[in-house]
Amino acid sequence: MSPSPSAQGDPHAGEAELIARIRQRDEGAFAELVDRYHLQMVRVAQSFVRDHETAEEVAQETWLGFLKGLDRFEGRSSLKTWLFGILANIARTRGVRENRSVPFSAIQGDDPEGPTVAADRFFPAGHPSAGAWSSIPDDWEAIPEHRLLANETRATIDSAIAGLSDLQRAVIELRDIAGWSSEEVCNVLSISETNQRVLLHRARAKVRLALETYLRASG
Amino acid sequence: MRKFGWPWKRTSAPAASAPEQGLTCQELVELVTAYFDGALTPFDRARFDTHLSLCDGCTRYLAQFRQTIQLTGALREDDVPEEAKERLLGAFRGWTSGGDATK
Repeated sequence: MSPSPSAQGDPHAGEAELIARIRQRDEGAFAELVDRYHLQMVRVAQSFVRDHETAEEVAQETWLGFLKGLDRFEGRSSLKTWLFGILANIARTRGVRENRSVPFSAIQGDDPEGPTVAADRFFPAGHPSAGAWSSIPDDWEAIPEHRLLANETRATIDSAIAGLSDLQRAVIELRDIAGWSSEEVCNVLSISETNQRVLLHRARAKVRLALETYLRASG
Repeated sequence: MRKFGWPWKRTSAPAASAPEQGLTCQELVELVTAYFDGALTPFDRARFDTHLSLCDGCTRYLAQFRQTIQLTGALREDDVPEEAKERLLGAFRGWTSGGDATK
């Protein structure tokens, strides 16, 4: 299996054409763009502001900014970069009002959460095999595909993601569901490459743990 | 077939992560995303690969992590809630009719 899946296909497909249609006041084209980006926008906003309602407002405001600025958009940057640039500006302003001028990066940067795999999965210090697995991880290759793709498995992943911090959730959704590059994620969330990687790793590790727990219980 | 065994057997007393001794499993699991992103130094990447070639446990962990990413990627994005969408389309209509819904 490849580690860099993007289930949504090429998200930039036909953007120039979409913009041209929106300029001609084609409501369907606008609706298509909303379908493509609105939820991602809410998610990104959510990493800057306190509550979901505010994040939704920030996204709405961004769309208004998009329409206003559309005639001036020359397509030098990608539509996505432009759109999320507007969003980040608005979100940051709101964030300041809510005493959260940056995402939680500053707080999470020093990684206070501890290891991503529980220490008791390894032999303890002092043991001849200290730091090695004390029990080997399960073999998921042996699990039939239909079980891995079952609705319950999806629900397990969904609820693990829902339980993440706002910033971890934004990063894993943008990277692993929406298929963004790490550079794009760093730019829009204003976090460093290292920080982005730590957040993504933690998020993935928590989803993995939820899957492990689920697959063991239902196996 | 390789047999399961403790992958990383230390024969000498451990100075937990002295580079010449390679990575422990416990250290390796924290580096998986960096490994996938090609963000490890050549030195760490070599240590990672060496460990992996010897360790069934970490090979399985890596496979689990890959599958986790794959399964997460297979989730469909939710649909935009009707209410939010209606509001946005309303704003769009305001914009097309030259009103100042965008103000």
